[in-house]
Amino acid sequence: MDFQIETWQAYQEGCSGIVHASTGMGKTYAIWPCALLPYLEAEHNDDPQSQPLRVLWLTPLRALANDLALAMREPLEFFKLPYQVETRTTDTPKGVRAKQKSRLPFALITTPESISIMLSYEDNLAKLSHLDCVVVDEWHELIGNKRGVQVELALARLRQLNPKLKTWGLSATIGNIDEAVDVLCGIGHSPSKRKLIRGKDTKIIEATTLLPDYLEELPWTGHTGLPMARPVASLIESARTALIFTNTRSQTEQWYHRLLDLNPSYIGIAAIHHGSLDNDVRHWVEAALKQERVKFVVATSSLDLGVDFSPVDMVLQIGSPKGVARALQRAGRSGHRPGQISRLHLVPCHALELAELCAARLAMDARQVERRLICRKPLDLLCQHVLTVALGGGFTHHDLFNEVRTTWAYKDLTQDEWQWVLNFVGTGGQALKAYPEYHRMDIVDGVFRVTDRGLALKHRLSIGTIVNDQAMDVVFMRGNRLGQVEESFIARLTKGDTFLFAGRALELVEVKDMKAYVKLSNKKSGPIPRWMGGRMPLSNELAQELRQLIDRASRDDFDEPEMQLLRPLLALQADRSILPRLDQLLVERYKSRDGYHLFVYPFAGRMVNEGLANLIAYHLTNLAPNTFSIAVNDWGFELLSLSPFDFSGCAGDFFKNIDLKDLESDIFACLNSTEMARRQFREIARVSGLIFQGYPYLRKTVKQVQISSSLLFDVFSDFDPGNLLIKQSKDEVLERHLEIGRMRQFIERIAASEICEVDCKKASPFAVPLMVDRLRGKLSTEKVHQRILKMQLELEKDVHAQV
Amino acid sequence: MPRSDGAMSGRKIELNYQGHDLVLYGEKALYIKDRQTLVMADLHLGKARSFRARNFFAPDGVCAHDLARLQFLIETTGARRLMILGDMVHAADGLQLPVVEAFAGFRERYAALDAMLVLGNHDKRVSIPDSWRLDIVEGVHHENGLVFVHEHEAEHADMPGLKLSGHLHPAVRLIGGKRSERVACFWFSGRSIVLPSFGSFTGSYVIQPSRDDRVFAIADGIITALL
Repeated sequence: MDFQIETWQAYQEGCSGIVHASTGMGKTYAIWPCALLPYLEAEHNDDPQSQPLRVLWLTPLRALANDLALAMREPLEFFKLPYQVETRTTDTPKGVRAKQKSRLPFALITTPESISIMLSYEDNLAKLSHLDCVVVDEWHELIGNKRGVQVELALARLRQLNPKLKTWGLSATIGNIDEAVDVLCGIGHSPSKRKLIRGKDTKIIEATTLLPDYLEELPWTGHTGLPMARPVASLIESARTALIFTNTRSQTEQWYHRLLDLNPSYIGIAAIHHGSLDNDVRHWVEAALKQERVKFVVATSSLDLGVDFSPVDMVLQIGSPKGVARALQRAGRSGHRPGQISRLHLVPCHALELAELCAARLAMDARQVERRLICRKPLDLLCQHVLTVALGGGFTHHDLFNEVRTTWAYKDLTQDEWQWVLNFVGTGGQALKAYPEYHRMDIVDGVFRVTDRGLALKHRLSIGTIVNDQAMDVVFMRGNRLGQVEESFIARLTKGDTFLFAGRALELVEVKDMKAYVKLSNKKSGPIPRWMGGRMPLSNELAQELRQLIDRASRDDFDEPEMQLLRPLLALQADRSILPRLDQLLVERYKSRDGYHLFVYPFAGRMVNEGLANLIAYHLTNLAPNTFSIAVNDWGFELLSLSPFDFSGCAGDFFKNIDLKDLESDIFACLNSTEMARRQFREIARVSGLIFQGYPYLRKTVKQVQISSSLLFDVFSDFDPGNLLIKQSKDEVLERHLEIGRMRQFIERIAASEICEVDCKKASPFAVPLMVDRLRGKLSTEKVHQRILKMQLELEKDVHAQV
Repeated sequence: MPRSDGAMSGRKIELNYQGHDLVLYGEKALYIKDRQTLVMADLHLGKARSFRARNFFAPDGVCAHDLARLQFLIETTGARRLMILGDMVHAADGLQLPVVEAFAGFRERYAALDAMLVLGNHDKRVSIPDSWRLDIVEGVHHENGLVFVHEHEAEHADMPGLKLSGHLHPAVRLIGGKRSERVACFWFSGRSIVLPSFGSFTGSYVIQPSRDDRVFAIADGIITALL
C-alpha cells in the first residue's frame, strides 16, 4: 500500500514520525519491515546472537504483546532472519525474563512501565544504546495522559543514549494529529526529519441509528435504553457475533439480564465484560469471542481496545457515544480486517438522544475526531522520573534538566520548578528549608544517585501512572473470585443487601480482609452496583454537530432520518419555546409548583454546564440571598429557586461580563473544587512517590498502615502551602474535570451570540430531562461546619429502618 | 435526631454526662470541670519527622501548631492537670531533638501544671523523655468514678465508672446532597467516651454508632451535636 512505501522511504532517510490509519489497516506492517531492512542486506557472517537490541516496541496494552510478537515473527521466518522477537511484560514467562537480564533480543515488545523500570538499572543503559528505533503503538491512547508523558521521558533518555534513534508512533486518527507528532518527536528534532504519514482511509464504516417505529416508544428522559430492548434483541438475531457497548457498568448488567429474559435460548452463549470483572473471566470472554463461541457480549469501554475479534460482525452502541473517536473505535471492533465493512448501530435511550445519535453519525462520516488534551508538566511524574534516573546511573542537575526539557510535556519547565522537584525528591520541601532526616538521593561530585536499596525496591514497585481505585475482591463463600468493585461501593451496602454483579444477583454476606464475601441471592431486584466512570461529557466536536442539527431544524430542515422521527418533539419545542440557531443562546424561564426555573442551553457538555450553572448561581446569590438547586446534563442546566429572581436584569449580561482572568478562582470558590482536588491528589501522591502502595505480597498489612492521601493533602495545604503538587492537583481538576479550557471557549463564543430569553407557559421538551434529573446539587458557599447542620448522618437511614 | 443540650454547635459544648460536667472543645479535647483536667488523646508528636526519616516526605509545622492549640486550651480552661490518653509520640525515629525540646518548653512554661500519660501502643516502643515531666501510667488509671485508658477493650466493659479513651481516631461520614464529608468526632456510648485524635497529622476511622449513642462532630474548629 502507498502509505507503507512512504513509510519505508522516510525510515531510510532517518526520519521519525507517525503513521496514522484506522485500525485493521496494517500499520504494524508499515513500520516493522523498515526496521528489518538494514539487516536484510547485511551479511550474516556474524553470530546473530551477538546482535544487540535494535527495536523497542511499546504498547499500552499488555494483552496485545503476544499477538504482536507472533505477527512480527512472520516476516523474520519468511526472510530467514535468525533474530529473536520477545515480549517483556508481567505475562512473560519467568525463564524468558531471567534470560533477558543477561541478553536482550533483537526486538523487544514491552509496556511504558517496563521501559521505565529498565531505565532504573544502570547496567541496562549500555544494552539500550544500540537501538535503531522505538515504535510506540496506539499513540493516540497515550498522548492525552500521564502514561504518554512517561513514554516521552523514556524517549528523551533513550535519545540521550543514541542521538540517532528513530521514533515512530502508530496512531488512529485524532483531531490534533500534527501535535501528536511534535509530542512524540520532542523538542529539538529537525522538522525535515519529522513525518506524518497518512494511511488512506479506505475503511468503510456504516453507522445507522436503530429507530423505533414510533417516537412515542422512547421516553422523554432516561439513561438505560431498555425500552429498545426488543428491537435490539431482534437485530442481534441476524448477527453472527454482536458486541453491545454501553456507557456504564451498571448498564451492562441490566442489558445482559434483559436480553436473556427476552430470549432465554441465549443462556450460555452470552457474556458480559467490564473492567471490574476478574481477569480470568475477561480472558474467557475474549477467547470465546475470538473462537466464535458466543452470540453476543455486553461490554463497557473495557472492550474498546485490544485483541482483534474477527468474528464480530455487528456492533451496537446503547445511548449516545458522547464522542466521535469513541464511536469510531467501537465501530472498528467489527469488520476488523482490511477491506471489510465496520457496522455500528446506534440505539437511543430517550427521544432527544436521537439528535445526539444523528450528530454522532454525521461526525463519524465526516471523521470529525476529537482533539486530545495534551498533558502539561505533570510534576508528580517528574518526581518519579528523577528517582528512576537517579537509580539508573545517576544524573547531574543541568544534564537532566536539559534532557527533560526536550520533551513536549516539560518544554516550559522553569529552573525554579526543577529546583523544587530536586529538593522535593532529594531533600524535601522548600529551597531554604533543610530536612536533614529526609534524604532519598546522595549527591557525590554533583551526581545525584540513590544508594538506599530499600528505597530502590519500593520505587521500582511504584513506577507507573495508573492508579487503581481501592478495589475490593468479590468472592463466593466457597472461594471463587468474581472480580472487583470499588471499596466505597461495598461500604455503602449492609449485610444481606442484594446487588447485581458479573451477571448475577448476589447477597453480601460479610466483608473481611479486603474481600466482600457473597452468595447467590434469590431476590431479583436490588441496587445495581454504580461505579465511577461512565459519565463522560459530550465532546466538543459532537456538541458542535448537535448545535448544527438544531440550527437546521430551526430552519425546517429535517432531512436526516433521526431528525425526521424527532420532528414532532422538536415542533413542540419550537411551539413552547424556540429552537436555538447556531448564533443564539437559549434561556428559558418557567414557573411551576416547584418554584422558579431557569433553563440555559449552552450545549457544552455536562462538566462545563455544571461549572457555568454554579458560576451563575454564585453570582445571583451574591446579588440577592437565595438558594438554588441545580440540575445539569450535556445540553444545558437548570437553576431552581423557591423565590423569583431576576435573571435578565443582572445575569443576562453575566455571560458577556465574565472576567476570564478571574474564572479559575471563581470556579474554585463556587464549586466544591477543593474536595475534587483532594481526590485528585490521590493519583499525584501515588505517582510522585509520596505514598507507597505496598509490596504486592504484603497487600493487606501495608494497606492498614498506609497513610491516606487526603490526610497528606490537608497537611500539605496547611503546612506547606507552596507545595507544587497541591497546585498540580488543583490544575488537573480545572483542566481535566471541569474542562476550564472549554468553558473559556464557550464564554468567548457567547460574547458574539444573541441571548434569547423565552418565558415558557409549559416546560419545553429540552427542559424535561433536566427537571426530572434526580441528581441535584445545591449551591452552597458555607464552610463545612455550617453544612454539617444540614447534613444527615449516614447511619440515620439504618436507624430509621430499625424503627 | 439531635437532642438539645444548650448549644448545639459552637467552639465548645457543655454538657452533663453521667454526673460529670464536661466541656467538649472544637480543638478536639475534653475538659472535666470538677477535676480541672484537660483530656486529650493521640497527639502523635513527631509523626511528620518519622515519615521523613523513612523517606516519605511530610512538611514541618504540625508539631508547633498542635502545641499552640494545646497552649490555647490550657489558658482557656485554666486546667490544673493535663491527661493524655496515649499515643503521645508516633515513633522513636520521629522523636528528634526539636520535638523533645518543643514539648519540654511547653512544660517549662506551665510548670505548675500536672501532666499524666496513659501509655498507648505507639508510646510503648519509645522512651518518653524525662524533660517532659509526665506521670506515666501503664494500662488503666482509675480515679473517683473515672477510668482513663488508651484503648477501650472488652475487658474494661464491667469496670465501674465513666471510661475515657482514645486510640480509635473516631470519625463519622456525613451525607448531604451529592456531598459526603468525613469528620472527626467524640463518641459517647454508654459509660464510654472515645476522644478524637488531637494531632493534626493523624488519620481517622469511621465508626458505626448505634442509635443510643451520642456523637459530636468537629470541623473547622467547630463542634456540633449530631445524635
